[in-house]
Amino acid sequence: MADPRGKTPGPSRFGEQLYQSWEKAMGAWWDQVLQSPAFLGAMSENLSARTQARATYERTMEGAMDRMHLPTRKDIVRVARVATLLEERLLAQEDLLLSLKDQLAAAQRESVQARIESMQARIELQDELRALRAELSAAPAVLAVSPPGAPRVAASPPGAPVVAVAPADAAAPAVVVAASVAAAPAEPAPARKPRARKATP
Amino acid sequence: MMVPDPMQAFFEGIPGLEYAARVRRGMQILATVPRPPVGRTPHVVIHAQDKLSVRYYAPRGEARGTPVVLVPSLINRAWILDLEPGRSLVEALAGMGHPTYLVDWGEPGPEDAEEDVGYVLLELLHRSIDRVCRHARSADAFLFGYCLGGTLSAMYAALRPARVAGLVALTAPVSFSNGGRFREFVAPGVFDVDRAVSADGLVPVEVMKPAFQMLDPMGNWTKYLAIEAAAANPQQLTRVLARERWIEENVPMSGAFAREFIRNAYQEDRLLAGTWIVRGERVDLGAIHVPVHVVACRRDFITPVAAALPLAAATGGAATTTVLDTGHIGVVVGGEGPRTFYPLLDRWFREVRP
Repeated sequence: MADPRGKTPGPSRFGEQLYQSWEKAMGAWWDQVLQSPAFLGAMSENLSARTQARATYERTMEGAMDRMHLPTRKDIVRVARVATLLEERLLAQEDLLLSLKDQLAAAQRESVQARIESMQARIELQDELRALRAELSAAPAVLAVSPPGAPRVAASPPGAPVVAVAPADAAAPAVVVAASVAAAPAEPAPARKPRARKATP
Repeated sequence: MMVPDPMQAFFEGIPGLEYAARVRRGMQILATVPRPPVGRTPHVVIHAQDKLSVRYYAPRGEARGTPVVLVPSLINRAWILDLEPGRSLVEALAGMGHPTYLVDWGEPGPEDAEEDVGYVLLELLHRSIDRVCRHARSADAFLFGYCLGGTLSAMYAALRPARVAGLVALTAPVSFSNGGRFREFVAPGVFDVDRAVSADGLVPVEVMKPAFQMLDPMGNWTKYLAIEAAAANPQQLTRVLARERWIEENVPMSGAFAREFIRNAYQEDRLLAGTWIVRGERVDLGAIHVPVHVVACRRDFITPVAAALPLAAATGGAATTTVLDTGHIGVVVGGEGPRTFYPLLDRWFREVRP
């Protein structure tokens, strides 16, 4: 066989070529064989014969063990199945417990969430109350000088003048305050921090 | 000490037959050298039911919030995703900061013969994902399914989407009419699944193994060459033999599962058609609205690209696809795993949940 490079191939090169062409030919042959219905049919028959032989062996073994009053494979399988069933029932109980645990955790989460929200609402109310107190303390003159039985001061809208209400005793003189509560310098309310909202699952 | 092989001199003297000699040496090595240990990444078991257990691999470095649940195939050992240090998907994901959980299906016995697809999905997998979310204190989890595990993960995401944050299906068949050579083996008229179920109600490994070996007949020959070539380097030999354990150590399948899966999937192709009923519930892949990433491999003999990619179009949400130039096993434990696939997964998880 001539070498493409014009050299005479050595025995090892020749052997390699021989092997490669054999491998290729064998590959092609296998491809044909494996698609042949006759081969596939024979394979199936062989499989069946093997399975039957094994079944015969197992039956013989079973009979022998039974005659010797020894536990057979069937007995062991029966016990193993019972164990599997028991395990399944235990795992079903475990599933149930885990599901209850999930529900409890969810309920606890909801309860904690509700408590947090109620506390936040109270904090907001306290803030508002503090702000109101600050506003009120900005008008000390009116509240401090009013003697007992003096007219009650009604809350006015911001910017509106504070007007005295006539006392129950009509003889007492009514005091009219022209100053506006809103106009008075009020103590600023403490700044509120933005609330971080917890994402619900 | 190895016994001298009298045929060795004969084989080595004839050109071309030196390969036969190498294959013989490879066979000898495979038969005599002990297998390396696998599944060595430290973990704790957080849940167990029946034969199933869920392993937790704690994240290293800055931990991410959403856990990743790895679902391997039912007919493989779970350690295929933790084969050896440096070629372990669980080790890599945990190293990238993902809380990683591996579903180990265990090995079914005759007592599990009646466990069907519904039991696997709605009992075993459903409870596993619930326990993972509780353990990770997360509302949901990413699902990563490999091969048959990917098909099951897609079905689960369609049936119980509440706790699924996203789905990655690696070489997971969904279009079974495009199932390639394996589909030809189990096609209706060729294969009667009832005949494959043995007297103890399981499909034994001896039945499944030849079928998988037939998917790549020449691979059974060339693997010995690879073993022989690796023999000079102990580290390389350990790596090759660890991969060999993957192929050698299959797990039997429960008869009820095999009957339901092979009939509905490979023989009647019901998954994409939306006519597969699991415990009275229709599996509608269109009900998957979470992000989905479908990964297929060009050199995959078990799940051809055409069998895997249609999942992307079948889901009801945003889906992306990737086709890698590697094989079914190589994508996880070959060079492509740490080089391409592990970073690809990490990127996708971070994109879905930044």
